[in-house]
Order: sequence, then C-alpha cells, then structure tokens
Amino acid sequence: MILVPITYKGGVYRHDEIVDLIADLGGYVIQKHVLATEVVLLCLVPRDDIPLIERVGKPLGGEVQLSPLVGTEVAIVTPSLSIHHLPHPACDIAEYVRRIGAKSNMIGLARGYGKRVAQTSAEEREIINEHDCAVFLLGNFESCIVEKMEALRRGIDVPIILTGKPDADVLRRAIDPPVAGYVGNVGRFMHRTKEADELARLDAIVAEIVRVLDLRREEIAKDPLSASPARLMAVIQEQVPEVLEVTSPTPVTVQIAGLRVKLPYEEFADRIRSAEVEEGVTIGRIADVLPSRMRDYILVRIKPSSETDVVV
Amino acid sequence: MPLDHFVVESPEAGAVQAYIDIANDVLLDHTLAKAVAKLHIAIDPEYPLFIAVGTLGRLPPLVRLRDFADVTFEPGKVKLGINEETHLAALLDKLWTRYGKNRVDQPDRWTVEIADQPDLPVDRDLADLVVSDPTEGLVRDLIYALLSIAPEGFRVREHMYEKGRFWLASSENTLPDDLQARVRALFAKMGEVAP
Repeated sequence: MILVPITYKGGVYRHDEIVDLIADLGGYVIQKHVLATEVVLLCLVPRDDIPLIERVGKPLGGEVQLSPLVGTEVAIVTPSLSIHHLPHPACDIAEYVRRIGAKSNMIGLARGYGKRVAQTSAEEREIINEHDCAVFLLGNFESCIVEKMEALRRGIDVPIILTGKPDADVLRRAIDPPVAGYVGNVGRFMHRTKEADELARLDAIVAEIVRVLDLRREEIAKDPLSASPARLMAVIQEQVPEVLEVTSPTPVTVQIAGLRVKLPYEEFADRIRSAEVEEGVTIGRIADVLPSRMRDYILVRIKPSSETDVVV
Repeated sequence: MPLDHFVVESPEAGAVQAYIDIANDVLLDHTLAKAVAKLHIAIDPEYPLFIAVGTLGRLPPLVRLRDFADVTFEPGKVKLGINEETHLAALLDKLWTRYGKNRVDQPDRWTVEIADQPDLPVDRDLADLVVSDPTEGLVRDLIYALLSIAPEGFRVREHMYEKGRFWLASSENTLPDDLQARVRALFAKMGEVAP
C-alpha cells in the first residue's frame, strides 16, 4: 500500500468522519489544525483511496490537495536572527513551506554572517542534522556565498538546498563540492513576498525541496525502513498517551526516516523503546531512540530493514 | 523613491538591483525617503567594504523654548507655561543641567518655575533656548537604516555627519587606509564635496 501525502481542508462540522475514514483506510493524520470553523488535516493516505476521501468530504465542503512535503521536517537556516534576515525572507520561506505540509524550523546561526568569520557551532550542526534537509538562505554576492558555504556546510550530513541572489546555474557552477539543490534569484530582501514573481520564487524553493526529498526517499526505498514513521507515530500516541497532552502543534513530528517526540528524554525514552509495534517487535528493536539537541525532546531514527531483518 | 541621486555600484552587477531594492525598502520603512536628497552606495564584496554617502534634504528647524512655552519673568522666579508636552522632558533635562534640580520646580503638568536669584540670575534670553535638534534624531535613524542596508557581517564601522552631508563605511576587516579618498570620490560622483 503506497501512502500519499495530502492536505484536507474543510469545515469543522462532521470532520471526525473524515478522520475515522482515514484511519479505517489505513492512513494517518500527521497534524490537525482547527482554525475557527475550518479544519486542516495533514495526512498520509492510500493513493487509491483519495477519490473516496474526496467523495465523502464533498458534502462537508472538504477539499483534498496533494502536499508533497507532509511528513517531512525542514530546517530553514539563516545566517542570524537579526533585522537583516528577519522577518523577510526567512519567515516568509519558513511559513510558505509549512503551507505545503512540511514542519519547518527556523535556525538562526549565532555567527553565520560575514564571509570571513562565518561558522557554525557543534550544537547548531547537530540540530540541523536532525532534519530531513536544510535550506540555507544566503545573500546577494556570489563571492560571499562561495566563501561562506565552505564553512557553513562543514559537518552537515543532511541534503543542503542553497538559495541566494545569483542564478541557480551560477550557484551550481560555483559551489564545489556540489550541494543537493540550488535556488537562485532569492538572496536578501527586506519586504514581504506578495508579488507574483516573488511567490514564484517561493514556489521554486518548494519545488527544489520536493525534488531533493524525493531523491532521499528513493535512496531510502532501496533499503526500506523497518517501519513507516507514520505508523510509529500512531503506536507512540496509543502507548504513550502523555504525548497527546503536549501543547506543541506537532507533539510527534514525522520525518522521512524518523520522528521527533516532544516529551522529556529522561522520563519517556525507555517507555518509547519498549512500546510494541507488533507482537514481539518493539520500537527499541527497529529504531534508535536518542536524545534530541532540540530542548529535551526525543529523536527516533528508524533503522533500515537490512539492519533489523524486520519490516512491520 | 524621489531622491535627486540614488545609485548603487558594485563589481558584482547581479547584486546591484538587490541592494537598490533593500535601500529603497529600508528608507521607506524608516520614513527617511523624503529626508534624504542624495544617496550613493558602493559595495565591494572582495575587500569587503560598504560605503554609503549622501546628503539630507531640507533640515527640520531647531526647537526653541518659545516655540512651545510662554516665558514670564516674575519677581523671584521665571514661570514657563507649557503649551505642548512633546519637548517637556528634553526641556527639564536642559534646565536641570543649567540651573540645578533644586531651582527648577514643576507645580503642575503645564507649569515649570525656575528660581531667579540676584546672585544666580536666570538667562534673560531663556525663550531662545534650543531645547532639541530634530536633525540629531534624524541622523541617528539614518545611521541605523544604513547599518540595516549594509551586509550584516560588516561590524567595523565609521560614520560622519556634518551640515546635511553624511557618510558611513563598514567592513568585516579593518577599514582601508584610503577610505577618505574613496568617500571624497563618491561625493564627487554626486556633485558634492565631502564633509
């Protein structure tokens, strides 16, 4: 069964029927937003059942859209959190990526500015490496980007998508060794993105993230994970019900090959390790349950099936 | 933006339009677009060096005491009837510095009294006292705006303002020895003389 990421938008009235339907079909609701009288569900559902969800949702005013970034966590990395980079473009991009379903985290480096002095700390690198990919938002000068990237990319293991003012082709030629993705014509700007050409640039960033993450998924598909992250999310929600009381918008953040559980590691790690996915198969057997560098959260990294000899 | 001269120059042509947009947005956001008459920005990403030079338009007049208060000399005291509170804090600051807190009294919100003693007389031209210079705030805002325009890592800075003309230079490295010559050259491009 191939699960497809979608966004369902509809009225609050009788939306429970949609939630039940998705569960019955074997899908998962990754995130649910209730905004006044509207509800937005980010879900993974079986590809063949999308028409059924559309049919059931239609009388309730529901719409289904494909959202390729549902179930991913993206780091939006800016050189700093100063007026030079915030709120535009960093917040605009982070917010736009969320609309397509990704969980985006904005990471402002402590010393990411200046081409000679730019650097990242061990903590920053480790936090970035906990994401599915990192979008680096750099500036307007090619020579600065080339020199800075050498320092900023050091120690980053996840795919990097580089954005800057020079064209994507110029960036592609200039960055050596290459990074996973390039988006040109972005750079530093100090006004809100609302014109058509500016929104087109945001769309280009989303398209590049989707492309890079699709490649990552293909890579993972060659040696499939022992369990789907969405399934482990459902298991954790069922067996560690304390997570349902967490007020964060995504108490369990689903990633391509893991999860971030927003519970204290010291208190809950063992319970998560011993949670049973199927009879005799615990999360601890098919995944590494690690302390996250983000607050005191728990990071679950699912092992490939070749390592565990289990697919659940 | 209605500037008489607004140019950004850089060896990297691709970044010029980006910095024109940034300067435009920042000056508009800080409501400085009408205050600045000429602005010329030069950015060298190799050194790296950012220089902005320019001139202000018509400067706002000095705020004197008579502009917002009635000054009455009475036996033993000088009474100030405040018509507008905007500059009251600045006025009290000046009076405290000049006459001391023990001689300056504020019996109510709209009245300030200064003890006038024969051995310590109050200035007879008190009404002409300059209470504040709006240009100072304008220049402060302008320097902040120019630092927002400059690339962020440029933490070595120097700036100057004199009689309506200003310049700011910033870099990641120490500023070059020929900075003054560069500033003069940029002013010359605007048809102005450096301060």
